[in-house]
Amino acid sequence: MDDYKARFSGEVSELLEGLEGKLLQLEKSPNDTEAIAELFRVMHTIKGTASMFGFTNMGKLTHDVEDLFQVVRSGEMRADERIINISFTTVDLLRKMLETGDELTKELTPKFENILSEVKDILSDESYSVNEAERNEKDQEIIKNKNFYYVRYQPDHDVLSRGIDPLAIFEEMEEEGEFIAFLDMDLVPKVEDFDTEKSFLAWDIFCTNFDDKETVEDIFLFFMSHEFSVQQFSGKGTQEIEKGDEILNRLKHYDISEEELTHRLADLCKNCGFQNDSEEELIDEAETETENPGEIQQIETIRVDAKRLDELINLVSELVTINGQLDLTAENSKDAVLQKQISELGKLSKRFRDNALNLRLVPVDVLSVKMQRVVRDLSSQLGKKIDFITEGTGTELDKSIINRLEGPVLHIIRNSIDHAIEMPDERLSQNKPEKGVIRFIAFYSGANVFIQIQDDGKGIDPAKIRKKAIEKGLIKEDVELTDEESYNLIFEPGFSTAESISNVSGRGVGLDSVRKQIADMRGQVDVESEIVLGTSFTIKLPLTLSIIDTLMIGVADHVILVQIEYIIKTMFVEDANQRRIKFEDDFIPLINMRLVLEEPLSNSKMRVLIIRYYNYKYAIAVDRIMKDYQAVVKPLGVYNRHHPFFSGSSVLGDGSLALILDINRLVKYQKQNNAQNI
Amino acid sequence: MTILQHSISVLNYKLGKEILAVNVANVLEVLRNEGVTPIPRSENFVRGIVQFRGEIITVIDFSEKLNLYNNEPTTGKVVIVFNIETPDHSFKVGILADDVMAVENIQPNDIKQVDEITHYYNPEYLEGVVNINDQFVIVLDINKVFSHKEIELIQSVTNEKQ
Amino acid sequence: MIKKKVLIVDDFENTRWIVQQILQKEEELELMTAGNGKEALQFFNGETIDLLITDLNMPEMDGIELVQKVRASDKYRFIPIIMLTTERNPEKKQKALDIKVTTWIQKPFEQGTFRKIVRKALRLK
Repeated sequence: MDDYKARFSGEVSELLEGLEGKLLQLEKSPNDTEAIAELFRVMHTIKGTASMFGFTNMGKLTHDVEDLFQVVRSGEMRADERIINISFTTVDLLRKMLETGDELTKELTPKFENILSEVKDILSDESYSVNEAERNEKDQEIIKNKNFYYVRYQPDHDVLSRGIDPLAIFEEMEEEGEFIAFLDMDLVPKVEDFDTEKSFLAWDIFCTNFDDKETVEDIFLFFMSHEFSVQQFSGKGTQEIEKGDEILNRLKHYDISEEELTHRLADLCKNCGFQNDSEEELIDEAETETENPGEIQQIETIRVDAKRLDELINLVSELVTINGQLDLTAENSKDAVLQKQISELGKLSKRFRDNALNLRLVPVDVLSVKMQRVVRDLSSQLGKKIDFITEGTGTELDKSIINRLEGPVLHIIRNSIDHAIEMPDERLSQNKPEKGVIRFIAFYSGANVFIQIQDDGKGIDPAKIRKKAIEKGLIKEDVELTDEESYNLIFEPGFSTAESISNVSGRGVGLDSVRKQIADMRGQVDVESEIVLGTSFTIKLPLTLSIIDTLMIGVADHVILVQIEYIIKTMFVEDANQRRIKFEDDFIPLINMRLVLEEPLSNSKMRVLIIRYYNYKYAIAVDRIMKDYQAVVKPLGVYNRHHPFFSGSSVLGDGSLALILDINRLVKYQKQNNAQNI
Repeated sequence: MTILQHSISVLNYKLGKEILAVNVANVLEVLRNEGVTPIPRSENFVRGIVQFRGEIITVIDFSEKLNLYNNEPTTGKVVIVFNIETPDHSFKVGILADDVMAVENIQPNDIKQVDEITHYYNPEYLEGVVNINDQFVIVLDINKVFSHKEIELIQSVTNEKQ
Repeated sequence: MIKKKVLIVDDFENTRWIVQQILQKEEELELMTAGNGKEALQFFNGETIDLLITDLNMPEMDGIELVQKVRASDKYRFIPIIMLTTERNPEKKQKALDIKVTTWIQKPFEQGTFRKIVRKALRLK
C-alpha cells in the first residue's frame, strides 16, 4: 500500500510541476488555448489518479477546479487573475496534501474550503451559471448513445506472488478508453494483520469509449473470473443504473449520487471528444514546428533511477582506473602490439566514461518554473512589476549540481526582487521603464557552465558597502579597496546591505551561504554592478563533479591533487617559512603545506603554486610537482566529510590513493589559523 | 538444564592484547593491510583511507576510538571491513586489527555484564564479555559504536574547527 | 535497448523451437531455453530473468516444483510466470493456479494470442 502511495506521490508531484509551468504561461498570455487545454488535461489526470488511489479529498478538489477550467476551455470565461490565483493556491494545497497523505489537517482545512467556495462563487456568477436541471439535461444529451461499463475489480490477496501488478490494468485502460475508478479500502486489514506481500485493494470502475465489452475484459486477461466482473449499460439515461442494485449500492459506498456520476460520466465523454481535438492540434503543431526549426524538439526519453546511473558511472570509473594500471604493465612489457591495443582500449573506455557522465546531464530549464514562481509571487507581494527573461535554458549540467544550484539561484533572485528592483513610481521618476527586468542566462564556456542573473535595478554603491563593512568591523577604516573588492564584501559572513530587515530575503542566511554552497560544487560566484543601471551575479560551475583536471603534487609522503584551474603559475621559493612572498608587484600570503600537514619543516628550496581565488592570490609551497592528472573524484569516507582542507580522493593508476585539496577550505583554514596565531 | 536459544556467530580478533568479538553479520571482508593512505589533520582515531571494491572507506583504530588506553599499540596487519547499518546511516568502515582468530558461536546467555570494565568502555556499545576457551573476550555491538549521535558530534566538532 | 530476458522451459525440443520461433519476431526479447526444471534453475542463478515460460509436465523436475523453487527466492518472488499445459484435467489446472503462476496457456495455442500474453506479462506496449 505504501508502495502505491509513493508511486502516486511521485507521479502527481511531476504533474503539479507541469501544471505550475502552464499556469505561468497562461498568466502571460491568457488566451493561450494550448495552455488551457493542457491545464484541463493535467487536472483531469490528477483527479482520476487521486480517486484511483483513494485520495478522495484531492479528488474532490481537482474535480471542482477542473470544472472551472472546463468553463474556461469552452470560451465562456476568460482565464483572469482570480482564476489563475485560485489555480496557484490549488497547486500549493495539492502539494501539501501529498505530504499529509490526503489528510486535511487543521491548517489545510480552511484553505481547502476557501478554494471550493471560491470556485463555486465564480461558477455561480450569473454569466456562466447553468442551473441544475439544465445541466442534467445537457449531461443526458452527451451520454446518450454511449456505452458504459461497470467493472468490479477485486484481485485476490496473492496477486503479487502470481507475478501480477494489480495497478498495471489502469495503464491499459488509459490507452483503450476513459474511466473513473474508486478505490475500495474495505478489505484492507488492521495494521497488525497487514502483510506487505499481499494486496488488499479493490476498485469500482466506470468506463466508456471502449470498443466493446471484450476489449474491457481483455484487459483483465490474467485475472480469474471471480476477480472481476464487467457489466454493460447504455447511456440512455441513468435509469439503467437504478436497475442494477449492486451498482447503486457501490455508489452509496463512495457517497456519490447518481446525478454526480452521470455528470462525471458526461465529463468523460466530453473528454474523449476533446482528446480527438487535441490530437488534431498536435498535428498542426507538428507542421508548424518544421517551419520553426529553432524551437526545442521533443526528444524521446526514458526514466532511469539515479542510483543505477551512479552505479554505472562508478563501474566505468573503475574501468578507466584498471585501464591505467594495464597501461603501466604494457609499458613495462615492451610489447608494441600489446601497448597499441591497450592504448586503444584506454581511449575507448574514456569515451565510454564521458558518455556515461553525459547521462547525468539535465538542462537548467528544470529550474525555470521555480524561478518564475518566485518572481511572480514575490513581485506581487511587494507591489513591484518585473519581467523575468530566461536565455540558454537548454544548457546542461550534472543533475546533482542542478539540485544544489536551486537554493543559491533562488536566493539571488529573491535578493534582486527585494533589494535591487525599485518600486514602479521610483523607476518612472528615474526615467526607467516601469517594469523591471531580471534575466537568467546560462551558457557554456570551456569545461564550465556560466549562469548570470542580471537585474536593471538600482545597483550596488561601493561606498555604501565600504561604510557598512567598516561599521560591521569587517574591514579597517584605512583600507583601500577597488570597487571589485568592495562588491566582494557582500559575500562576507554577517554582511547585509538591506537597510531594513525584510521578511523576504532577510531569512538569516546571507550571500555568504550562497558563496559557500557554490564553492561546495567547486564553483565560484562573482558580482558586478553599476549604480542606477543594475547588478549582475555570475556563477561559474564545472560541467560535472565526477572528473576534474588536477596537478599532482607531493609533500613528504603525501600525494595531493590540486584543481588546475586555480593555478596561475608555478615557481621556486628559497625560504618557505616566511608569511608572505613577492609575486609580481604584490606580497601574497604563503601557505607552507609542510606546516599544514604537520610535517617537519625543511630549510631547502621549495616549489610554489600561485593560486588565484576570487580576487586574492596565494602561494602554496610544496615539495614536488609531479604531473597533470585527470582525477575521478571519490568521497573521503565517514568521519572525513568535513575535513578542514581535503574534500575528496582519487584512485591513481597504480591503485594507490591521492587526496584532493579544496582551495576554498584551505584558504579559510589558513585565515583562521593566522587569526589564532596573531 | 539449559533453555535453547539462538546462538550468535561472532568473529574474534586481536587488537593489541585485547580480544574483541563482533557479530559476523556486519563483517564484509578481512583484508591484509597493504597500506592505508593517511589523512593529516583528521580525528586521532582515523588512520586514513583505503579502496575497497571501488569505494573509499575510512580506516579506524579502535584502541583510540574506544579509549583502550592501557592497550598495546596495534600492528594493524589486518583491516576488517564492516558494514554499519543504523536507522540513520549505512556505510562501510575499516577497523585495524592485529589478527583475526576465529568465528565462534556463542549463546546470548553466556555474555556476562561486567561492571568493573565499563568505566573505560562506553557501556552503550559494550554488550558484555564472554569466556571462549578460557579467554576473556569483549563483545561489541558495532552498529552502536557508530551511532548517529556519535557521528553527528564528530561532524559538528570538525565543522567548528573549520 | 535493454532486452527482456525470457526463459522457455519444455522437455520437448520441438515445443521449445516453436515457442522460440514465435517470439523471435519480438525485438524486445532475448530468449533462452532449458529442457527441464533443474536446467532452468541454473539460469536463475546467473542473470536476471524477466519472464519464465514453462511446461507443466517434465521429467527430472516438473513445472510445479520449478515455479515453487523460483518463487521461494527473494529476487524472483514477483516474477511473471506463464505455464504451458496440455492438461485438460481441471484439478491439475487448479493446482497450477494454487502455486501462483501469472497465467496458463493451453497447448496448442494461437500465435497472436501467445505473443499478446507474453507482451502483457512483460508490460510491453
